[in-house]
Amino acid sequence: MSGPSLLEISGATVAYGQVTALQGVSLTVGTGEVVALVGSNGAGKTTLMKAVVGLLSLAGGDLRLKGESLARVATHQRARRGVGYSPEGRRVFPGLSVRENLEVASLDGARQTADLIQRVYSIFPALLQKERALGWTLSGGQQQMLAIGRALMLRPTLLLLDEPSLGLSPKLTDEVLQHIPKLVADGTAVLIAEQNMLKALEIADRAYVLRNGRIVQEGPAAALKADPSVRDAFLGGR
Amino acid sequence: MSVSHARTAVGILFVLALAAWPLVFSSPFDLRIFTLAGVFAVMVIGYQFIFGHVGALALSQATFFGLGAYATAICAVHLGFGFPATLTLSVLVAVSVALFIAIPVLRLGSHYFALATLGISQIVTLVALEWVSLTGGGNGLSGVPLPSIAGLVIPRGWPLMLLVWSFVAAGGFVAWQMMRGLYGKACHVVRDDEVAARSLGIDIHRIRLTMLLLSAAYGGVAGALFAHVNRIASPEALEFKTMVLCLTMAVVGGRTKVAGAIVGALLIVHLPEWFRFLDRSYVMVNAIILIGLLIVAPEGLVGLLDRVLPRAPGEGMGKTLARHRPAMSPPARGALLPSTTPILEVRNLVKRFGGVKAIDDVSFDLHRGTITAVIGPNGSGKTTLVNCITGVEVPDVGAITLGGSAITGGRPHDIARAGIARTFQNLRLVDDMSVLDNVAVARFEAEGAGPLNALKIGREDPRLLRAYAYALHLLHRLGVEEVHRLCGSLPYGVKRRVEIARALALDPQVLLLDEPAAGLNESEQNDLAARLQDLAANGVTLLIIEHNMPFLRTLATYMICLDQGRVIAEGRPREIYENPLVLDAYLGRGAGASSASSPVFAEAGV
Amino acid sequence: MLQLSLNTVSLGSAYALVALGLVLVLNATNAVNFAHGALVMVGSYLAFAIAAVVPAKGIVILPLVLLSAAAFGLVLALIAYFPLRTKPVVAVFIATISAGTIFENLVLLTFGPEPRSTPPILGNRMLDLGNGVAIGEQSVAVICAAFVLIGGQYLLFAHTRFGRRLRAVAQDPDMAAACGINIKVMIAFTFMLAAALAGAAGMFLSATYYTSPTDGANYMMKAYLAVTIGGWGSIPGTVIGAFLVALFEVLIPAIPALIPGLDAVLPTATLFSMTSSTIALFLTFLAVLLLRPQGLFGEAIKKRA
Repeated sequence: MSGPSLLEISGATVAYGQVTALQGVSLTVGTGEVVALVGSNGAGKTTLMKAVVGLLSLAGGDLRLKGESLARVATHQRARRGVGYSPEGRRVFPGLSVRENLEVASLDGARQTADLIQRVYSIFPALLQKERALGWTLSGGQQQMLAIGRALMLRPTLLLLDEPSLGLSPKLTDEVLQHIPKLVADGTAVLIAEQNMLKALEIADRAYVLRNGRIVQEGPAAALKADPSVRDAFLGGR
Repeated sequence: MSVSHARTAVGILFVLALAAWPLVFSSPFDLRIFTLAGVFAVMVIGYQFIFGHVGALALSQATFFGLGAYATAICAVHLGFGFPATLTLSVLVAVSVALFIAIPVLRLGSHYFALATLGISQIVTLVALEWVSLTGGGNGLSGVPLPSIAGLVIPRGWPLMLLVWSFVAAGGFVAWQMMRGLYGKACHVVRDDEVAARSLGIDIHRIRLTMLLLSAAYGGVAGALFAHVNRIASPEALEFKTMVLCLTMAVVGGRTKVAGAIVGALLIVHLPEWFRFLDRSYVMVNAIILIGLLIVAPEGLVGLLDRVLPRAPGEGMGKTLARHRPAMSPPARGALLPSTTPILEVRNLVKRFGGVKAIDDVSFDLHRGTITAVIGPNGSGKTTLVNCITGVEVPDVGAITLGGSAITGGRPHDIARAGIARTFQNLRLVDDMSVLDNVAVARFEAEGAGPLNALKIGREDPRLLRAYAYALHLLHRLGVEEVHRLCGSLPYGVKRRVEIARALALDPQVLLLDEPAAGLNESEQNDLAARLQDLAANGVTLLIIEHNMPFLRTLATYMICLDQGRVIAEGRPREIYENPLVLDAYLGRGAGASSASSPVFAEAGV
Repeated sequence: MLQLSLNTVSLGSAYALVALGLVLVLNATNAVNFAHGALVMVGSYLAFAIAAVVPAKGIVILPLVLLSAAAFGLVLALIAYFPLRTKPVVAVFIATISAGTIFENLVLLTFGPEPRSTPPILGNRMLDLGNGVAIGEQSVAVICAAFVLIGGQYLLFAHTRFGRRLRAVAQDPDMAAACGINIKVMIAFTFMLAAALAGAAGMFLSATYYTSPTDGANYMMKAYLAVTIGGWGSIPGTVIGAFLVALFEVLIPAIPALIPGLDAVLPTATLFSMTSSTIALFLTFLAVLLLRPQGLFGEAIKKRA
């Protein structure tokens, strides 16, 4: 593990009505780290992401960002403290243009916002070409880039990427994922949820394996990739 | 005491309290208020058909109610008809106006529907106000006699109250009976997801029309009773205020349960009386209490009971189902007959959205028992193709034939009935229905469930039981065991299989699967692939839309690759994997040259 | 004739203010605010009450009306929207109807049932344009004031970051929150803005037509019609819808005056009454829906609940 823990989740439990979606999950993300959260759909990855963002509240356990508890902090306050979120299904603002999508997510003044937008365009040049297009007119891959770009506008210390490959062709998935090391080089920690396990483990430093709302395995990405028991459970090992 | 006993106890207490009410509050004034509550209960039970069971926000119930009141008043005052005749006429007037309304508004989306029904109500109200000679204008038509049956006048007080409440009992029983079988389940799907309902062969417009007419009939009855109880028919009965009253009763009491209508009517009719002592501010207190009730019990007071004492899954169904387990598998339509004529033919299909051709001259054939995969990058037109075949979209050019007969541009439910079933990319199951109900409802058309035969279902709906048996068999075949759980609480992979079981319950000739492997891990994918192969071996023709190459590797017998709406390659999977055009489309221009080392296809084991 | 079209435009602008408020809340919350008509009525009485204390022209009172109406909007949001945010849409629908009833009775208890009128924006003179053509000062002032308010609203939404954030909240509240936007504040502000526009409209309308505490339902119906004709969520469509509603209301009763000699042929008094203009409006609306089930100007954003 590199550096002190940026995000520290301890014993997190989340329930929808009577169904428990997360059960005592503990994990950490260190500064400058890429951590993958892998597991099949329904394992609780998205639930965990939403709990970190604040769109779901914890029934038990705690969440700490830079040592401070987030349990009673509203979603927008978490964003202002540096939690950037690119959700499953992208969810760009459909009636806002690409530029407006980026602009509304900025917390800075006009001048700095313009600089930040330029920085996003330099990472995803495809967005610059579509600057004036409305969100809903973009293709899936472009929307994904916009969702990530929008999360970057907060200048996050922690970037949450939920299923960036969902609904994208293999080619587009690679195109989107290749940017992640660049982001980390700028000092952002990344927590990425993927069911495309091989892809996720390729770019991550460490990984947690979720199953039925619990963490069943954790360790360096390379080790998990090689671990036959993980492969058996999640890669349908042959 | 178990939950089911507690529910029974609450039910018995409710009936006892209802019976005791007029005995305790027995002054003539109290009896009158209680009678009035009964009148509104009939109106609200009717309103639950359209608003509760199929979830359409109709704002016309007060119009049916007012029309019923005016019809009774006019016939009784001007023509001197007796109660049976005026009641019948009230119902007829309300139902015929509803039929007339239905023509323009029934197809409208929710808010347009709400305002259109409200607009018609406004017109009727204005006409009633202006047509003074018939309706008495703003003063209303007074002097309505007490109801008389065969020359026998029903006096005020207990007799009139009992007459009204016997209508509540009869109306409530009919509504309960009609909605608890297979027909009621179909209404639930219509309310929750129109697209899914259509794909199951359910004619949603027909169901909506039936529900609107039923609402109107009950409204007419309630209006007729109202005229007799109040001895006057006045424009207030038609007004939006009455509509709001009715809506409030339904929401406060509960939207789909008969008991909810009764509780809502009793409460809302009595609230102003209880706060009468507050003099002029009682209306405000009334409104504040309403908002409070909405916050505490947004699903209605009877719905609150379901939350406090939830019904156990599959309660009371175990024995019945055991008796109906099928001994053998239901036969597949024309299964296993070898055939060289294609079952589904698609010819020169074109679909434009604005200037963009989403589908551009696509043709292919499906042969019985084969598994064909349609692949292609995002936005290549795969889902549009499925939508054209299933009638969700109407193609601009081209022909689609199923078993030799044309289905091009047919309505979705007709195409589903003709034998094409589908699943959805984003799962369209009804989350607050059990797994078994979700699948059984697909038997709606095959069992011929309708409102009339739903009326005479006896103790248990035989159609529903047969549908359950059929569904159980299919669920078992797809390895779904927890059939009584609510769908919403299932893991994703199980939901996928439930949706496939539901599609199979239509007994389709062709099954279209839109990204069935999305969201499944690899072992789940392998399991699904095996089950799909088993289906194909039993004569079901499969068309699979997919991204996921490894999933298709061993599954598909034929592949069609779309790019920008056009078929760029088709053939056996191995040929497709090596086709440079396909590699370009998937991996980017020029990738075809270096295909050997491409990770996607390495993963696919080609 | 000129005065007639001026009346139409002036009435249409006032209705546009009402309908815009309805659309703003609709877009931000996905709920129809049925207390919106009552807010128009509240605006009239606020203007009436303020004018009793500050005897000045309407233009001076207007800012005070906007502010105090906005306060009512906030109250509405707090009692009828926020407690029910996560509940079914129909619950909000009924809660706003109840809130409207509360407002209506508050006004009734405070001011009694008599209709009241408010001071005109500048004055009630007829402006002589020469050649015997004269136009009402109030009509012109209403058009200008409404134009300024609608234009300001447009600039706010299209060209400020605050406005874009309001739109983001309307389109996806959860994601807006995850982008650091305080959505509760934004929604409360939307209610206040909508109420301010409704209040202004109330003040403009009752200078000419008088308002009584029970008039809310009538305004609500007009706004609902305008919004639906306009395509449910489309702001330009809503403005056009408001003008169509006004056109029916002004033009049909004026037909006998416009076509001299018509009285001889037809029973004009009943045929071209206010009642029949309302009926004609609804019938036209139904006909439009028959031909274009998505409203005249289509659905702005697909899949509204």
